[in-house]
Amino acid sequence: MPTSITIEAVRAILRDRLALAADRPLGADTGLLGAGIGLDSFEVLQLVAALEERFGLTIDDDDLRPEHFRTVSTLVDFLETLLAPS
Amino acid sequence: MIADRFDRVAARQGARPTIVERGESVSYAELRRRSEAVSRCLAPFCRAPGQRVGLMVPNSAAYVAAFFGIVRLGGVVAPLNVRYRSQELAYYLEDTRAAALVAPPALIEVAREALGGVAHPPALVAIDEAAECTVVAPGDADPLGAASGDSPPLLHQYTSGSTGKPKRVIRTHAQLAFELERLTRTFAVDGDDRFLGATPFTHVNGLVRTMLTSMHVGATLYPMAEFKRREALDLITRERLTYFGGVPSMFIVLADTPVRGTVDLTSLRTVFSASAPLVPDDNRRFAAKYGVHPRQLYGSTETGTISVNVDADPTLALASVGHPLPDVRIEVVDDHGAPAAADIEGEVTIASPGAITAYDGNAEATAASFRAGFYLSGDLGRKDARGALTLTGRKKFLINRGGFKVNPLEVEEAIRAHPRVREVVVLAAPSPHGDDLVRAVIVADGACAADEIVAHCAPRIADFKIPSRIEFRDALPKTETGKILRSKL
Repeated sequence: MPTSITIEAVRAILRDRLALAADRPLGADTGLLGAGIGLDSFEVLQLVAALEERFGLTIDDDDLRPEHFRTVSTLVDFLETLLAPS
Repeated sequence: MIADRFDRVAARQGARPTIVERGESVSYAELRRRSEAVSRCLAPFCRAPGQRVGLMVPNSAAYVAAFFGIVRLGGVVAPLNVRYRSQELAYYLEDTRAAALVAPPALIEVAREALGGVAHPPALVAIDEAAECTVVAPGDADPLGAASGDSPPLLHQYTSGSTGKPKRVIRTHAQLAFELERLTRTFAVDGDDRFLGATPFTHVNGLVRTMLTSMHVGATLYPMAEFKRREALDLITRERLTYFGGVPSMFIVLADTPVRGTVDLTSLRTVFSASAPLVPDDNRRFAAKYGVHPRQLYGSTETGTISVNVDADPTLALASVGHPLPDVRIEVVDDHGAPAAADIEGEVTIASPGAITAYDGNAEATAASFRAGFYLSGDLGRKDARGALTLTGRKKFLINRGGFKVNPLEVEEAIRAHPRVREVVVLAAPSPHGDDLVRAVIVADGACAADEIVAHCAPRIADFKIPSRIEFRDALPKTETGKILRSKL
């Protein structure tokens, strides 16, 4: 059974792998792209690779749509759909 | 001439695949036919040789057909990044004085918007996946006179200097033919090779070192319209690809990506990283996972490919960009232009039959960057006793601190190691004593004080290198390609 995906776990990956400061606000509604924490396309791929490793997921690069990365919360929702039985 | 060469290779290779995309292969004969159809569509806009044609098409068979279709007419290809927005596109179309712009249906809207901002708009030509062309708007271009010079122009590119407007770099058929011949000889590639087309063909790296190199030897090219991690790994594995020219970010992300299913990159004979340094740690991580070390390649828009590390044992000098291509000369020179001794850092200068000798219409930039047949790259490096080059930084931004030369990249690297620094630029600020102060502009994650940065630097770099002016910003000004605009800081 894969580890359950929580907002806290995704935040930990953002902090560890993308060296986001511990005191920088990073809540469920924090934006990941643009005016949020401003991930560029390369950082999105780095984040995705880290999420795959942590949660045992496989994420298709074709599914990396901006709406999934709108906030930490939408990212968690997207990851959960990948775990749900099809 | 590059088009003649393509036609000869196409005649020889005939039914062999030139491009494989979405699982379907296009033969050399068919690609030639498609490129001739492009030529017929563009002919009314390229009546005299030397007309510029903007090519804003993602990596695909259509791109390759359009490229040779333009060149066959004596046209000059102006590759344009498919990520440009209309305002950027308008600037480049105006500046190139393009006679036509070729774009796929998905980019016609942005192209139309751009044409509204051009005084003499080029014709707008839509190209579909089968390379069939349709004139969308005839335009009102102001034709250029016929090109002069020993070898006609082939490519019209730009190099975004860190200051001022982009400089025009126009390379000729002879310059490209030289580069392609030396590259294919150095990599020992031939018609049996299979190329991954992962880097954009609208940039010199993907265009020359992948697309044109593949066509030069009659190989098979697998273009990717955009880079996708597992698609790249699957293609290499399934099709036993032999050639992968990438950029550092591709190798880093592939090194991070967990392997799913069967991945086998042992078919790759030529793997290189260009456009930016690939640090040895990232190189080792990639090799640990996939069993192959990317080689570092050094080139510039002005000179084409300069050198590549093809040492038999890549692990001995992962940071090195190797030896120059045959007939390319690299001189590392000191501040007075005299050759530096082995292992001594200096500016890297290049003389090559593949290099331009001037920027188009820019005498000031030409005088600053070309001297006695050599291009002054502004890169710092050192050659070892065997003549292999290692790049160490950039000269053009050197800071003169009381006579000590400070390499801002070294200071940036030290500051970047601070856990809350996301981005940093280090540059010179004038001091009241006629020399420079070291100034750092930082984008931090969360609260970060100048004192902390200084304390962080103290054990890492010499005292004269530690910035005395530290500012925090929300973002750094950047070009569309992500280069930091130092002139705006």
